[in-house]
Amino acid sequence: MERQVLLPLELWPRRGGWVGKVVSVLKQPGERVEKGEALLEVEIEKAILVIESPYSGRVKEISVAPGKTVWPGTPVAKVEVDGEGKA
Amino acid sequence: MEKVRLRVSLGDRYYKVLQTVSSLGIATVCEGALCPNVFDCWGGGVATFMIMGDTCTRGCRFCYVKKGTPQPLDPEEPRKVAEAVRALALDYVTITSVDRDDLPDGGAAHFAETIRAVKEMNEGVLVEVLTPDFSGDRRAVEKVVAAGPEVFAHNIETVRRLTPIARDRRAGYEQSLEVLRIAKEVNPRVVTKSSILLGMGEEVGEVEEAMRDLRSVGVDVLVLSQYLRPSPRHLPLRKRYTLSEFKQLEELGLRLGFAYVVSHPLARTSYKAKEAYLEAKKRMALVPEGHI
Repeated sequence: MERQVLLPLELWPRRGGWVGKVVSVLKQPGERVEKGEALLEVEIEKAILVIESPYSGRVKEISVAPGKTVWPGTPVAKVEVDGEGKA
Repeated sequence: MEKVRLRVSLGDRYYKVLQTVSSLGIATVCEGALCPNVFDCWGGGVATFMIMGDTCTRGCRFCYVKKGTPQPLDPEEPRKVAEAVRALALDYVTITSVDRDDLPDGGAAHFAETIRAVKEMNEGVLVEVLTPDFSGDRRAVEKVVAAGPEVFAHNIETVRRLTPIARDRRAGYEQSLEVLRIAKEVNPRVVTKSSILLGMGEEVGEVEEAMRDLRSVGVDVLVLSQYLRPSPRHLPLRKRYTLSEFKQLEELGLRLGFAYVVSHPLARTSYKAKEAYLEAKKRMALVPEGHI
């Protein structure tokens, strides 16, 4: 099944208002990704956040490019998840 | 030097902390200040509670906590914090707060009540409080110390010269030193602690002066950390210190007589707080009272 990966809403969950910029995309469509593996890096004012894949599977789509502004909840990728069959 | 990389790893313990604080409606400074250690701390099952709401009456220029008119105090909050400590099975808890200049005692009674509630419901728990300056009100500081926290922390935040630039106009370098002095005077056995954020434009000599000033009012534990600008609206970052500079400042702090120094770019007041407390107590026990 295809799953969307979001920039986690649980990042500083009750303190919104921050934005970041994608600085690097570490996986490309068609590549395999493991749960917990780094998918992309997002720069915020304080730091660079290394965003992990919450799923194991095959990357179907990367929805953001370096330079794009993102915030919690922004869709960043789609992953065809192992063992869940077609939706 | 490049910005620090933070691995955003959200495991079961992270979600347990989130669920606990959310369901009880308790604010955390981990969220309020966009703390870079949130993944480490929550991932380890620990949070720093921020009482008296999530909105601060002051407008310090380095801090990301919301500013504005706060909500009335929640009289149930002391019990809720105590429940959170129990739910997370914490044996050491750090409780901080927003500034509440709108309250006659700055929130000191609420602080004291929270300490008592936490200790009543959680036998043997060690409590560290990181308090506002209570506008230098001696009775407010006395009230908090009398509730029996093991550690009384209050941050001077920066060196003397930068205080009016970095902190709210109602804060003051001398006022903060006085708060720390009073806490130690009220109870010489309480461990006192203060933090300095580095990188806002201070000179090394000014940092040393601040350390000496903190020692002169009996502060036991010093925390040195790297200022990280939370947004473009905040005070600019002037310098990123290297690990070796942090090490040198740690050594200087120990030479000046602090019982313990936490010195690291990502150190924050509650970072490694239990370890700092235990080490400080060990060192203080070796030195006759009045010599440390």
